[in-house]
Amino acid sequence: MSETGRQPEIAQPSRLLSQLADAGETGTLYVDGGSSGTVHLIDGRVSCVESPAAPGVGALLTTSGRLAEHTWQAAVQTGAAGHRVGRLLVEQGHLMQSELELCVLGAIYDAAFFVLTTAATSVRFAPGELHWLGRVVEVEVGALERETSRRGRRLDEIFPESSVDHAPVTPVPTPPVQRVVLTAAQWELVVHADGRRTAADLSRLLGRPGYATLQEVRRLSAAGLLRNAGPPSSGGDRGAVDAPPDEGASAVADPDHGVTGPDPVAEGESPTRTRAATRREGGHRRQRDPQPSGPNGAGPVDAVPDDALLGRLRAALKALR
Amino acid sequence: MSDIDDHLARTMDLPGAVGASLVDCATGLALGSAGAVPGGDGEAAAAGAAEVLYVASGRAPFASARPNDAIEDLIITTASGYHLLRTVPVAFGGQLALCLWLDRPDGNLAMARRRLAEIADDLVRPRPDAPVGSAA
Amino acid sequence: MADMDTALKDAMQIEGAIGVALVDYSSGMALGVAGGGKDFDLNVAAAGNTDVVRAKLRTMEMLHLNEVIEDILITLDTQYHLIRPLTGRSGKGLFLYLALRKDRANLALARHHMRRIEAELDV
Repeated sequence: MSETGRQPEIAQPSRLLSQLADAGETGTLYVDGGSSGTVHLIDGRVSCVESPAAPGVGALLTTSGRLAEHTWQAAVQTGAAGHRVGRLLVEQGHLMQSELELCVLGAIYDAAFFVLTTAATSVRFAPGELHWLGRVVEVEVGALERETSRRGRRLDEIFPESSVDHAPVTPVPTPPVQRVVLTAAQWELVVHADGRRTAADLSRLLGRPGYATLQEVRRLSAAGLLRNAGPPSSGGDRGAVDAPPDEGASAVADPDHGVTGPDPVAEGESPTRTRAATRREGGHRRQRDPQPSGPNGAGPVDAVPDDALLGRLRAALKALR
Repeated sequence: MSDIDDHLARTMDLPGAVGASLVDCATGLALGSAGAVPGGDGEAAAAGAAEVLYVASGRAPFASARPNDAIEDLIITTASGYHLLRTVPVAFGGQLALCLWLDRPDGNLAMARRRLAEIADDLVRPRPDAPVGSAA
Repeated sequence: MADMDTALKDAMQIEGAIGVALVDYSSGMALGVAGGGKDFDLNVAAAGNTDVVRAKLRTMEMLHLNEVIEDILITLDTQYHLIRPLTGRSGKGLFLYLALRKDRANLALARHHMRRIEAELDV
Protein backbone atom coordinates (compact mmCIF):
# COMPACT_ATOMS: atom_id res chain seq x y z
CA MET A 1 0.00 0.00 0.00
CA SER A 2 2.14 2.93 1.15
CA GLU A 3 5.14 3.00 -1.07
CA THR A 4 7.47 5.92 -0.60
CA GLY A 5 10.48 6.83 -2.63
CA ARG A 6 13.46 8.75 -1.31
CA GLN A 7 12.68 10.13 2.08
CA PRO A 8 15.75 11.74 3.57
CA GLU A 9 14.02 12.93 6.75
CA ILE A 10 14.87 11.11 9.94
CA ALA A 11 11.30 11.09 11.12
CA GLN A 12 10.03 9.24 8.10
CA PRO A 13 10.06 5.62 9.33
CA SER A 14 8.35 6.75 12.50
CA ARG A 15 5.62 8.66 10.73
CA LEU A 16 4.77 5.82 8.39
CA LEU A 17 4.93 3.36 11.24
CA SER A 18 2.44 5.38 13.27
CA GLN A 19 0.08 5.51 10.32
CA LEU A 20 0.33 1.77 9.85
CA ALA A 21 -0.28 1.20 13.53
CA ASP A 22 -3.33 3.45 13.51
CA ALA A 23 -4.69 1.57 10.53
CA GLY A 24 -4.14 -1.76 12.30
CA GLU A 25 -2.00 -3.03 9.44
CA THR A 26 -0.23 -6.38 9.24
CA GLY A 27 2.97 -6.63 7.25
CA THR A 28 6.62 -5.68 7.08
CA LEU A 29 8.12 -2.20 6.95
CA TYR A 30 11.47 -2.08 5.20
CA VAL A 31 13.70 0.81 6.20
CA ASP A 32 16.82 1.56 4.20
CA GLY A 33 19.44 4.12 4.96
CA GLY A 34 22.21 4.71 7.49
CA SER A 35 21.21 1.64 9.43
CA SER A 36 18.61 -0.40 7.63
CA GLY A 37 16.19 -2.84 9.13
CA THR A 38 12.66 -4.18 9.22
CA VAL A 39 9.67 -3.62 11.47
CA HIS A 40 7.04 -6.34 11.50
CA LEU A 41 3.48 -5.51 12.36
CA ILE A 42 0.54 -7.68 13.29
CA ASP A 43 -2.77 -5.86 13.54
CA GLY A 44 -0.99 -2.57 13.99
CA ARG A 45 1.29 -3.77 16.78
CA VAL A 46 4.96 -4.54 16.53
CA SER A 47 5.77 -8.24 16.71
CA CYS A 48 9.40 -8.08 15.64
CA VAL A 49 12.11 -5.61 14.64
CA GLU A 50 15.39 -6.48 13.04
CA SER A 51 18.54 -4.50 12.43
CA PRO A 52 22.08 -5.53 11.52
CA ALA A 53 23.22 -3.42 14.47
CA ALA A 54 21.33 -5.56 16.99
CA PRO A 55 21.64 -9.32 17.50
CA GLY A 56 18.36 -11.04 16.72
CA VAL A 57 16.49 -13.59 18.79
CA GLY A 58 18.43 -16.50 17.32
CA ALA A 59 21.80 -14.88 17.90
CA LEU A 60 20.93 -14.02 21.49
CA LEU A 61 19.74 -17.52 22.27
CA THR A 62 22.61 -19.34 20.61
CA THR A 63 25.61 -17.13 21.45
CA SER A 64 24.56 -17.23 25.10
CA GLY A 65 24.47 -21.00 24.89
CA ARG A 66 20.82 -21.06 25.93
CA LEU A 67 19.94 -22.98 22.77
CA ALA A 68 22.17 -25.26 20.75
CA GLU A 69 22.54 -24.05 17.22
CA HIS A 70 21.10 -27.21 15.76
CA THR A 71 18.03 -26.78 17.96
CA TRP A 72 17.54 -23.26 16.67
CA GLN A 73 18.18 -24.35 13.11
CA ALA A 74 15.71 -27.18 13.32
CA ALA A 75 12.99 -24.91 14.67
CA VAL A 76 13.65 -22.39 11.92
CA GLN A 77 13.54 -25.05 9.23
CA THR A 78 10.35 -26.57 10.50
CA GLY A 79 8.55 -23.44 11.61
CA ALA A 80 9.63 -20.60 9.32
CA ALA A 81 7.17 -21.31 6.54
CA GLY A 82 4.25 -21.36 8.97
CA HIS A 83 5.52 -18.30 10.89
CA ARG A 84 5.68 -20.24 14.10
CA VAL A 85 9.36 -20.67 14.99
CA GLY A 86 8.79 -19.15 18.42
CA ARG A 87 5.81 -21.30 19.25
CA LEU A 88 7.63 -24.38 18.10
CA LEU A 89 10.55 -23.80 20.46
CA VAL A 90 8.15 -23.55 23.38
CA GLU A 91 5.97 -26.47 22.30
CA GLN A 92 9.00 -28.69 21.95
CA GLY A 93 10.14 -27.74 25.44
CA HIS A 94 13.35 -25.99 24.41
CA LEU A 95 12.34 -22.68 25.90
CA MET A 96 9.80 -21.49 28.38
CA GLN A 97 7.18 -19.10 27.11
CA SER A 98 8.38 -16.38 29.52
CA GLU A 99 11.97 -16.73 28.32
CA LEU A 100 10.91 -16.42 24.72
CA GLU A 101 8.84 -13.35 25.51
CA LEU A 102 11.73 -11.73 27.35
CA CYS A 103 14.11 -12.46 24.53
CA VAL A 104 11.79 -11.17 21.79
CA LEU A 105 10.82 -8.05 23.77
CA GLY A 106 14.44 -7.20 24.39
CA ALA A 107 15.31 -7.76 20.74
CA ILE A 108 12.41 -5.60 19.53
CA TYR A 109 13.39 -2.56 21.59
CA ASP A 110 17.04 -3.09 20.82
CA ALA A 111 16.65 -3.21 17.05
CA ALA A 112 14.04 -0.45 17.08
CA PHE A 113 16.58 1.94 18.52
CA PHE A 114 18.66 1.59 15.37
CA VAL A 115 15.89 1.31 12.81
CA LEU A 116 13.81 4.21 14.11
CA THR A 117 16.70 6.61 14.62
CA THR A 118 18.28 6.02 11.26
CA ALA A 119 18.40 8.67 8.57
CA ALA A 120 16.28 6.64 6.20
CA THR A 121 16.66 6.95 2.48
CA SER A 122 13.69 4.78 1.67
CA VAL A 123 10.80 3.25 3.54
CA ARG A 124 8.61 0.57 2.02
CA PHE A 125 5.72 -1.42 3.45
CA ALA A 126 4.88 -4.93 2.32
CA PRO A 127 1.35 -5.65 3.48
CA GLY A 128 0.56 -9.11 4.71
CA GLU A 129 4.19 -10.18 4.91
CA LEU A 130 4.69 -12.00 8.21
CA HIS A 131 7.87 -12.69 10.12
CA TRP A 132 8.95 -16.30 10.49
CA LEU A 133 9.16 -15.98 14.26
CA GLY A 134 5.41 -15.54 14.58
CA ARG A 135 3.42 -13.69 17.21
CA VAL A 136 5.18 -13.94 20.55
CA VAL A 137 4.71 -10.51 22.06
CA GLU A 138 3.19 -7.26 20.86
CA VAL A 139 4.52 -3.80 21.48
CA GLU A 140 2.64 -0.58 20.79
CA VAL A 141 4.34 1.64 18.27
CA GLY A 142 4.00 4.58 20.66
CA ALA A 143 5.83 2.73 23.42
CA LEU A 144 8.60 1.84 20.99
CA GLU A 145 8.97 5.45 19.90
CA ARG A 146 9.09 6.73 23.47
CA GLU A 147 11.66 4.20 24.55
CA THR A 148 13.77 4.88 21.47
CA SER A 149 13.95 8.59 22.19
CA ARG A 150 14.63 7.96 25.87
CA ARG A 151 17.55 5.76 24.88
CA GLY A 152 18.91 8.41 22.59
CA ARG A 153 18.80 11.00 25.35
CA ARG A 154 20.40 8.60 27.77
CA LEU A 155 23.36 7.95 25.49
CA ASP A 156 24.05 11.64 25.24
CA GLU A 157 23.76 12.04 28.99
CA ILE A 158 26.46 9.44 29.40
CA PHE A 159 28.78 10.94 26.83
CA PRO A 160 27.62 13.47 24.26
CA GLU A 161 29.79 12.21 21.45
CA SER A 162 28.20 9.89 18.92
CA SER A 163 31.32 9.27 16.83
CA VAL A 164 32.29 6.33 19.04
CA ASP A 165 28.98 4.64 18.17
CA HIS A 166 30.06 3.75 14.67
CA ALA A 167 33.84 3.91 14.63
CA PRO A 168 36.25 1.14 15.47
CA VAL A 169 37.25 1.52 19.10
CA THR A 170 40.40 0.69 20.99
CA PRO A 171 41.46 0.87 24.65
CA VAL A 172 43.73 3.77 25.55
CA PRO A 173 47.28 2.54 26.23
CA THR A 174 47.40 4.28 29.61
CA PRO A 175 44.32 4.84 31.73
CA PRO A 176 43.77 8.48 32.67
CA VAL A 177 43.24 7.56 36.31
CA GLN A 178 45.10 5.60 38.95
CA ARG A 179 42.44 3.07 39.67
CA VAL A 180 39.90 1.52 37.35
CA VAL A 181 36.94 -0.69 38.21
CA LEU A 182 35.08 -2.33 35.36
CA THR A 183 31.98 -4.48 35.21
CA ALA A 184 32.30 -7.88 33.59
CA ALA A 185 30.50 -6.56 30.53
CA GLN A 186 32.88 -3.62 30.25
CA TRP A 187 35.89 -5.84 30.66
CA GLU A 188 34.76 -8.03 27.78
CA LEU A 189 34.36 -4.98 25.60
CA VAL A 190 37.78 -3.60 26.45
CA VAL A 191 39.40 -6.96 25.83
CA HIS A 192 37.73 -7.39 22.46
CA ALA A 193 38.02 -3.81 21.25
CA ASP A 194 40.92 -4.31 18.88
CA GLY A 195 40.86 -1.05 16.96
CA ARG A 196 39.03 -2.69 14.05
CA ARG A 197 35.72 -3.62 15.65
CA THR A 198 32.90 -1.15 16.02
CA ALA A 199 30.24 -1.27 18.73
CA ALA A 200 27.99 -3.24 16.38
CA ASP A 201 30.80 -5.74 15.69
CA LEU A 202 31.40 -6.16 19.41
CA SER A 203 27.74 -6.69 20.10
CA ARG A 204 27.57 -9.44 17.49
CA LEU A 205 30.78 -11.01 18.68
CA LEU A 206 29.67 -11.14 22.30
CA GLY A 207 25.98 -11.80 21.62
CA ARG A 208 25.14 -8.68 23.60
CA PRO A 209 22.29 -6.33 22.73
CA GLY A 210 23.33 -3.51 20.41
CA TYR A 211 22.10 -0.61 22.50
CA ALA A 212 23.60 -1.94 25.73
CA THR A 213 26.90 -2.24 23.92
CA LEU A 214 26.68 1.35 22.67
CA GLN A 215 25.95 2.45 26.17
CA GLU A 216 29.01 0.73 27.60
CA VAL A 217 31.17 2.03 24.78
CA ARG A 218 30.05 5.56 25.61
CA ARG A 219 30.61 4.98 29.33
CA LEU A 220 34.10 3.67 28.70
CA SER A 221 34.75 6.58 26.36
CA ALA A 222 33.49 9.03 28.96
CA ALA A 223 35.88 7.49 31.47
CA GLY A 224 38.69 7.94 28.96
CA LEU A 225 39.38 4.21 28.75
CA LEU A 226 38.22 3.56 25.21
CA ARG A 227 38.72 5.76 22.21
CA ASN A 228 37.78 6.08 18.61
CA ALA A 229 40.48 4.10 16.82
CA GLY A 230 40.21 6.46 13.84
CA PRO A 231 40.62 7.10 10.98
CA PRO A 232 37.06 8.10 11.60
CA SER A 233 35.02 6.03 9.26
CA SER A 234 31.58 6.82 10.44
CA GLY A 235 29.17 9.36 11.76
CA GLY A 236 26.17 9.42 14.01
CA ASP A 237 22.61 9.66 12.82
CA ARG A 238 21.80 11.46 16.00
CA GLY A 239 23.39 14.81 16.51
CA ALA A 240 25.20 15.10 19.79
CA VAL A 241 23.04 16.93 22.28
CA ASP A 242 24.91 19.29 24.50
CA ALA A 243 24.11 17.58 27.76
CA PRO A 244 26.61 17.21 30.56
CA PRO A 245 27.87 13.67 31.02
CA ASP A 246 26.28 11.93 33.96
CA GLU A 247 28.90 11.81 36.64
CA GLY A 248 27.35 8.66 38.03
CA ALA A 249 27.52 6.81 34.78
CA SER A 250 31.23 6.41 34.24
CA ALA A 251 33.39 3.64 35.56
CA VAL A 252 34.71 4.08 39.04
CA ALA A 253 37.98 5.86 39.09
CA ASP A 254 39.30 6.29 42.54
CA PRO A 255 42.55 8.16 42.88
CA ASP A 256 42.37 8.14 46.67
CA HIS A 257 43.18 4.49 46.89
CA GLY A 258 45.32 4.22 43.89
CA VAL A 259 48.44 2.71 45.42
CA THR A 260 48.18 -0.36 43.27
CA GLY A 261 47.97 1.38 39.96
CA PRO A 262 45.60 0.27 37.24
CA ASP A 263 43.52 -2.48 38.69
CA PRO A 264 40.78 -3.61 36.42
CA VAL A 265 38.48 -5.97 38.21
CA ALA A 266 36.02 -8.17 36.43
CA GLU A 267 33.39 -10.43 37.77
CA GLY A 268 33.62 -14.02 36.67
CA GLU A 269 33.76 -14.49 32.98
CA SER A 270 31.38 -17.27 32.19
CA PRO A 271 32.38 -20.10 29.91
CA THR A 272 29.33 -19.49 27.76
CA ARG A 273 30.55 -16.02 27.00
CA THR A 274 33.93 -17.28 25.98
CA ARG A 275 32.32 -19.86 23.82
CA ALA A 276 30.04 -17.23 22.44
CA ALA A 277 32.98 -15.23 21.23
CA THR A 278 34.35 -18.07 19.17
CA ARG A 279 31.02 -18.94 17.66
CA ARG A 280 29.74 -15.60 16.64
CA GLU A 281 29.94 -16.08 12.92
CA GLY A 282 27.71 -19.11 12.91
CA GLY A 283 25.26 -17.73 15.41
CA HIS A 284 24.86 -14.48 13.66
CA ARG A 285 24.56 -15.74 10.15
CA ARG A 286 22.14 -18.46 11.03
CA GLN A 287 19.99 -15.97 12.78
CA ARG A 288 19.56 -14.09 9.59
CA ASP A 289 19.25 -17.03 7.27
CA PRO A 290 15.54 -17.60 7.46
CA GLN A 291 14.73 -14.04 6.70
CA PRO A 292 14.00 -14.05 3.01
CA SER A 293 14.60 -10.43 2.20
CA GLY A 294 16.08 -9.07 5.38
CA PRO A 295 18.80 -6.51 5.71
CA ASN A 296 22.22 -7.83 4.96
CA GLY A 297 25.07 -5.67 6.06
CA ALA A 298 25.02 -2.25 7.57
CA GLY A 299 24.47 0.76 5.43
CA PRO A 300 27.19 3.12 4.37
CA VAL A 301 28.94 5.08 7.03
CA ASP A 302 29.81 8.72 6.75
CA ALA A 303 32.67 10.70 8.15
CA VAL A 304 32.84 12.68 11.34
CA PRO A 305 35.95 14.51 12.52
CA ASP A 306 37.55 13.21 15.68
CA ASP A 307 36.65 16.02 18.01
CA ALA A 308 35.87 13.66 20.84
CA LEU A 309 39.15 14.36 22.57
CA LEU A 310 37.95 17.41 24.44
CA GLY A 311 34.86 15.63 25.65
CA ARG A 312 36.89 12.64 26.78
CA LEU A 313 39.32 14.79 28.68
CA ARG A 314 36.50 16.63 30.34
CA ALA A 315 34.82 13.38 31.31
CA ALA A 316 38.08 11.91 32.56
CA LEU A 317 38.74 14.96 34.71
CA LYS A 318 35.23 14.72 36.03
CA ALA A 319 35.77 11.09 36.87
CA LEU A 320 38.71 12.13 39.01
CA ARG A 321 36.24 14.11 41.12
CA MET B 1 -2.04 -11.62 28.70
CA SER B 2 1.56 -12.59 28.29
CA ASP B 3 3.41 -15.08 30.42
CA ILE B 4 5.50 -12.24 31.82
CA ASP B 5 2.31 -10.57 33.00
CA ASP B 6 1.23 -13.80 34.68
CA HIS B 7 4.43 -13.88 36.70
CA LEU B 8 4.03 -10.24 37.67
CA ALA B 9 0.46 -10.92 38.72
CA ARG B 10 1.81 -13.58 41.08
CA THR B 11 3.96 -11.01 42.85
CA MET B 12 0.89 -8.84 43.30
CA ASP B 13 -0.74 -11.64 45.29
CA LEU B 14 1.73 -11.02 48.10
CA PRO B 15 0.26 -9.22 51.12
CA GLY B 16 1.07 -5.53 50.96
CA ALA B 17 2.15 -5.61 47.30
CA VAL B 18 1.72 -2.17 45.74
CA GLY B 19 3.31 -2.65 42.36
CA ALA B 20 5.78 -4.80 40.49
CA SER B 21 7.82 -4.56 37.34
CA LEU B 22 10.35 -6.53 35.38
CA VAL B 23 13.25 -4.28 34.46
CA ASP B 24 16.04 -4.66 31.94
CA CYS B 25 18.98 -3.43 33.97
CA ALA B 26 21.17 -2.46 31.04
CA THR B 27 18.64 -0.08 29.55
CA GLY B 28 16.26 0.74 32.39
CA LEU B 29 13.28 -0.44 30.36
CA ALA B 30 10.31 -2.03 32.11
CA LEU B 31 9.50 -5.17 30.12
CA GLY B 32 6.30 -5.53 32.06
CA SER B 33 4.55 -4.09 35.08
CA ALA B 34 1.59 -4.62 37.38
CA GLY B 35 -0.10 -2.57 40.05
CA ALA B 36 0.95 0.96 40.89
CA VAL B 37 4.27 2.70 41.21
CA PRO B 38 4.93 5.07 44.10
CA GLY B 39 5.23 8.48 42.50
CA GLY B 40 3.21 7.31 39.52
CA ASP B 41 6.00 7.38 36.95
CA GLY B 42 6.69 3.79 35.97
CA GLU B 43 9.32 4.72 33.44
CA ALA B 44 11.37 6.71 35.92
CA ALA B 45 10.95 4.04 38.57
CA ALA B 46 12.23 1.34 36.24
CA ALA B 47 15.16 3.44 35.14
CA GLY B 48 15.94 4.23 38.76
CA ALA B 49 15.83 0.61 39.84
CA ALA B 50 18.14 -0.30 36.98
CA GLU B 51 20.56 2.42 37.98
CA VAL B 52 20.67 1.36 41.59
CA LEU B 53 21.42 -2.22 40.60
CA TYR B 54 23.91 -1.14 37.98
CA VAL B 55 25.77 0.92 40.52
CA ALA B 56 25.58 -1.80 43.14
CA SER B 57 26.82 -4.55 40.86
CA GLY B 58 29.19 -2.59 38.69
CA ARG B 59 30.70 0.19 40.69
CA ALA B 60 30.58 -0.87 44.25
CA PRO B 61 33.95 -2.52 44.77
CA PHE B 62 32.51 -5.10 47.13
CA ALA B 63 31.04 -6.79 44.09
CA SER B 64 34.51 -7.83 43.12
CA ALA B 65 35.71 -8.74 46.58
CA ARG B 66 35.15 -12.32 45.56
CA PRO B 67 34.99 -13.79 42.10
CA ASN B 68 31.49 -14.72 40.96
CA ASP B 69 29.88 -13.14 43.96
CA ALA B 70 26.86 -11.81 42.15
CA ILE B 71 24.02 -9.81 43.61
CA GLU B 72 20.94 -11.84 44.48
CA ASP B 73 18.78 -9.04 45.70
CA LEU B 74 18.77 -5.52 47.02
CA ILE B 75 16.18 -4.25 49.47
CA ILE B 76 15.56 -0.64 50.36
CA THR B 77 13.55 0.03 53.47
CA THR B 78 11.85 3.38 53.97
CA ALA B 79 9.34 4.51 56.58
CA SER B 80 6.39 3.60 54.38
CA GLY B 81 7.57 0.57 52.49
CA TYR B 82 10.07 -1.85 51.08
CA HIS B 83 11.48 -1.79 47.59
CA LEU B 84 12.79 -5.21 46.61
CA LEU B 85 14.99 -5.69 43.56
CA ARG B 86 15.64 -9.31 42.71
CA THR B 87 18.04 -10.26 39.93
CA VAL B 88 16.68 -12.72 37.38
CA PRO B 89 19.18 -15.35 36.25
CA VAL B 90 18.49 -14.95 32.54
CA ALA B 91 20.91 -16.64 30.17
CA PHE B 92 20.77 -14.18 27.31
CA GLY B 93 20.68 -10.50 26.56
CA GLY B 94 21.78 -9.10 29.90
CA GLN B 95 20.69 -8.62 33.46
CA LEU B 96 17.01 -8.40 34.42
CA ALA B 97 15.50 -7.54 37.76
CA LEU B 98 12.13 -8.28 39.25
CA CYS B 99 11.10 -5.26 41.32
CA LEU B 100 8.43 -5.12 43.95
CA TRP B 101 7.10 -2.26 46.04
CA LEU B 102 5.74 -3.49 49.31
CA ASP B 103 3.65 -1.57 51.77
CA ARG B 104 5.32 -1.39 55.19
CA PRO B 105 2.33 -2.07 57.47
CA ASP B 106 0.90 -4.95 55.42
CA GLY B 107 4.01 -6.32 53.83
CA ASN B 108 5.91 -9.31 55.13
CA LEU B 109 9.47 -8.71 54.03
CA ALA B 110 10.84 -12.17 54.74
CA MET B 111 8.01 -13.86 52.91
CA ALA B 112 8.05 -11.45 50.01
CA ARG B 113 11.77 -11.99 49.60
CA ARG B 114 11.31 -15.76 49.35
CA ARG B 115 8.42 -15.55 46.93
CA LEU B 116 10.16 -13.01 44.75
CA ALA B 117 13.19 -15.29 44.50
CA GLU B 118 10.90 -18.13 43.44
CA ILE B 119 9.07 -16.10 40.85
CA ALA B 120 12.30 -14.70 39.42
CA ASP B 121 13.54 -18.25 39.04
CA ASP B 122 10.30 -19.43 37.48
CA LEU B 123 10.60 -16.77 34.80
CA VAL B 124 13.69 -18.31 33.29
CA ARG B 125 14.16 -21.77 34.72
CA PRO B 126 11.98 -24.72 33.87
CA ARG B 127 10.59 -26.30 36.99
CA PRO B 128 11.70 -29.90 37.31
CA ASP B 129 8.10 -31.06 37.61
CA ALA B 130 6.85 -28.98 34.70
CA PRO B 131 5.48 -31.00 31.83
CA VAL B 132 7.64 -30.58 28.76
CA GLY B 133 6.10 -29.57 25.48
CA SER B 134 2.67 -28.81 26.79
CA ALA B 135 2.77 -25.05 26.48
CA ALA B 136 0.74 -22.79 24.22
CA MET C 1 25.06 7.35 73.74
CA ALA C 2 28.12 5.74 72.17
CA ASP C 3 30.98 7.30 70.22
CA MET C 4 32.07 6.12 66.81
CA ASP C 5 34.76 3.69 67.93
CA THR C 6 32.44 2.03 70.40
CA ALA C 7 29.74 1.73 67.75
CA LEU C 8 32.14 0.22 65.22
CA LYS C 9 33.50 -2.21 67.76
CA ASP C 10 29.96 -3.07 68.75
CA ALA C 11 29.00 -3.75 65.13
CA MET C 12 31.97 -6.08 64.71
CA GLN C 13 30.49 -8.21 67.49
CA ILE C 14 27.54 -9.02 65.24
CA GLU C 15 27.72 -12.67 64.25
CA GLY C 16 29.34 -13.06 60.82
CA ALA C 17 30.65 -9.48 60.63
CA ILE C 18 33.47 -9.00 58.11
CA GLY C 19 33.89 -5.28 58.42
CA VAL C 20 32.09 -2.10 59.32
CA ALA C 21 32.52 1.54 58.39
CA LEU C 22 30.99 4.90 59.16
CA VAL C 23 30.81 6.73 55.85
CA ASP C 24 30.18 10.31 54.78
CA TYR C 25 28.14 10.05 51.61
CA SER C 26 28.83 13.54 50.44
CA SER C 27 32.48 12.57 49.95
CA GLY C 28 32.40 8.78 49.98
CA MET C 29 35.11 8.79 52.63
CA ALA C 30 35.02 6.62 55.72
CA LEU C 31 35.22 8.42 59.05
CA GLY C 32 36.14 5.20 60.72
CA VAL C 33 36.47 1.50 59.94
CA ALA C 34 36.77 -1.74 61.84
CA GLY C 35 37.48 -5.23 60.54
CA GLY C 36 38.10 -5.74 56.85
CA GLY C 37 41.26 -7.40 55.64
CA LYS C 38 43.58 -7.71 52.71
CA ASP C 39 40.81 -8.92 50.40
CA PHE C 40 38.39 -6.42 51.69
CA ASP C 41 39.35 -2.77 51.64
CA LEU C 42 36.66 -1.03 53.66
CA ASN C 43 37.64 2.40 52.39
CA VAL C 44 37.03 1.27 48.85
CA ALA C 45 33.79 -0.45 49.79
CA ALA C 46 32.67 2.72 51.55
CA ALA C 47 33.16 4.73 48.39
CA GLY C 48 31.29 2.14 46.34
CA ASN C 49 28.37 2.02 48.72
CA THR C 50 28.17 5.77 48.65
CA ASP C 51 27.35 5.47 44.96
CA VAL C 52 24.55 3.02 45.73
CA VAL C 53 23.04 5.35 48.29
CA ARG C 54 23.35 8.30 45.94
CA ALA C 55 21.76 6.38 43.06
CA LYS C 56 18.82 5.46 45.25
CA LEU C 57 18.43 9.01 46.54
CA ARG C 58 18.53 10.31 42.97
CA THR C 59 15.79 7.88 41.98
CA MET C 60 13.60 8.83 44.91
CA GLU C 61 14.09 12.47 44.09
CA MET C 62 13.14 11.78 40.47
CA LEU C 63 9.96 10.09 41.63
CA HIS C 64 9.27 12.97 44.03
CA LEU C 65 9.19 10.58 46.93
CA ASN C 66 9.81 12.50 50.09
CA GLU C 67 11.04 9.50 51.92
CA VAL C 68 13.97 8.69 54.08
CA ILE C 69 15.96 5.53 53.50
CA GLU C 70 15.96 3.43 56.62
CA ASP C 71 18.34 0.82 55.33
CA ILE C 72 19.57 -0.86 52.18
CA LEU C 73 20.33 -4.55 52.18
CA ILE C 74 22.33 -6.11 49.39
CA THR C 75 22.52 -9.88 49.22
CA LEU C 76 25.37 -11.41 47.27
CA ASP C 77 25.97 -15.12 46.79
CA THR C 78 28.20 -15.25 49.87
CA GLN C 79 27.75 -11.95 51.68
CA TYR C 80 25.24 -9.48 53.03
CA HIS C 81 25.91 -5.78 52.86
CA LEU C 82 23.86 -3.56 55.10
CA ILE C 83 23.76 0.20 54.72
CA ARG C 84 22.05 2.28 57.35
CA PRO C 85 21.86 6.07 57.07
CA LEU C 86 22.08 7.88 60.40
CA THR C 87 18.99 9.67 61.54
CA GLY C 88 20.23 11.90 64.38
CA ARG C 89 21.13 15.51 63.72
CA SER C 90 24.83 14.93 64.31
CA GLY C 91 24.77 12.02 61.90
CA LYS C 92 23.30 13.85 58.95
CA GLY C 93 24.92 12.74 55.69
CA LEU C 94 26.48 9.67 57.26
CA PHE C 95 25.71 6.00 56.99
CA LEU C 96 26.84 2.88 58.75
CA TYR C 97 27.96 0.10 56.50
CA LEU C 98 28.30 -3.50 57.59
CA ALA C 99 29.49 -6.48 55.55
CA LEU C 100 28.51 -9.94 56.78
CA ARG C 101 29.33 -13.50 55.87
CA LYS C 102 26.15 -15.05 54.64
CA ASP C 103 26.89 -18.49 56.04
CA ARG C 104 27.48 -17.10 59.52
CA ALA C 105 25.09 -14.20 59.83
CA ASN C 106 21.55 -13.99 61.08
CA LEU C 107 20.13 -11.30 58.88
CA ALA C 108 17.13 -10.34 60.98
CA LEU C 109 19.25 -10.11 64.10
CA ALA C 110 21.96 -8.16 62.32
CA ARG C 111 19.46 -5.60 61.05
CA HIS C 112 18.06 -5.29 64.54
CA HIS C 113 21.54 -4.74 66.03
CA MET C 114 22.39 -2.16 63.45
CA ARG C 115 19.21 -0.27 64.23
CA ARG C 116 20.17 -0.16 67.89
CA ILE C 117 23.78 0.80 67.23
CA GLU C 118 22.66 3.57 64.91
CA ALA C 119 20.16 4.91 67.46
CA GLU C 120 22.80 5.07 70.17
CA LEU C 121 25.55 6.48 68.01
CA ASP C 122 26.55 10.06 68.65
CA VAL C 123 29.13 11.39 66.23
